[in-house]
Amino acid sequence: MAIDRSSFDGLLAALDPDRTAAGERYERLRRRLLMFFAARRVPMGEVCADETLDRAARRLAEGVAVEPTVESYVLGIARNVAREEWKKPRAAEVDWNRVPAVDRAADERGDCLERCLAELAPQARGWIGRFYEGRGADRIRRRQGLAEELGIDTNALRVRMHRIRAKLEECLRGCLGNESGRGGIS
Amino acid sequence: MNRGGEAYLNVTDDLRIRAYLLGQLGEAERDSLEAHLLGDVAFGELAEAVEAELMDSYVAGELRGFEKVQWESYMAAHPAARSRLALARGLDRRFGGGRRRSWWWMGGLAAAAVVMVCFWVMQRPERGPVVVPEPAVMAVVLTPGGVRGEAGPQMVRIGPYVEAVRFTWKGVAGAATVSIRNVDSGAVVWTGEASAPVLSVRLNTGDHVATVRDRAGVEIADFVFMVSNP
Repeated sequence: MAIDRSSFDGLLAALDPDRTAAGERYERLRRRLLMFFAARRVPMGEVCADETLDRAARRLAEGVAVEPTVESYVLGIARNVAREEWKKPRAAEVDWNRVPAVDRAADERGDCLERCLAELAPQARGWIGRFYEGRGADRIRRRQGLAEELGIDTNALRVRMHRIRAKLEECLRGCLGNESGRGGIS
Repeated sequence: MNRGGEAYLNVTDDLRIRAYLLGQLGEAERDSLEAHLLGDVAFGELAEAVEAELMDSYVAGELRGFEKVQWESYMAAHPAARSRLALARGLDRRFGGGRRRSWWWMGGLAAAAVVMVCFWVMQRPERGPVVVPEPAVMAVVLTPGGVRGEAGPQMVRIGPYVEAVRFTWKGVAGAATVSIRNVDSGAVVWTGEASAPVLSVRLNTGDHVATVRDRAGVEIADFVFMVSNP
């Protein structure tokens, strides 16, 4: 059951009084829920994440006290949704060994990746290139060198590179979707 | 956990997240990690970085056996897996050592390998059976019951290289989940989908009872078995 606008606004307001910050926190919470459902091997993770957030919004609209934090309250709902999902017949039909199909034509042409790399700031593009250069011990050495150059430790470097990678992923998703939509990809 | 906007990460967190994503944490550990995952921004960001690195490892062929199976089941359940897999492959090809393969020389290599194997088979002296390494995931068929009696318990011999055991619950229909209890300690050592492989490190030597349930959570059958090392 979908929620109305005021319930959604109520959830955003509970996350943060500033609407932009609330939006970011909402998106972050949704990403973590996708990870939560995948880690529990619950099928239809996207539907479950949205259902979880919708229920939280409805409870808030009903005046339920969300304590101690919105995130911990949402986690409780997510666990219930996961339990309910497991009782549904389709859970048994999932092929857990299925690797997602990748659009190999687009993937191998690399057009989308090149386009998305070009959209990054030059500095970020340089960093991500150096982060993924080489293999094995050579790659580790290169990463240590990059971290020293940036004046951060390698773990902080991993997180910083992940942020750049997340931007690339978003761009790539849009690009692959458009390519498929044009019908040029088999 | 947060230092100047950059997450302060430690090795333990790293390994716990990795185990979580690969379905290797016990229930209590998993619940505790999930509270951090949703409630701690830096921890969540680290989890995303670890997730991305697991994808890189998968693409580079570094995940094997049970880890590979578990990662594939994670990807099957994650809606963004397709784009992430494409990105990991693209980055590997663009910057790493992963290059498009040239098939003509691979064909040549394969032909040379076939010739060498044939030559070896013809030339090798008779030295008895060739020892084949155990598979990383071992298949075991169990029948319901199996209480100690004349025939003894059903034995599951887990070799040192077996990473996981995939059980077939014979004679029951509609098996959805399974929980495995160690009879000696009384502890539930595994809970999961009935068709998923069970991590071998969870199965210590001794008697175990596996309770299989249907989708509604109703118990269908118990399977008693004894774990031993060969």
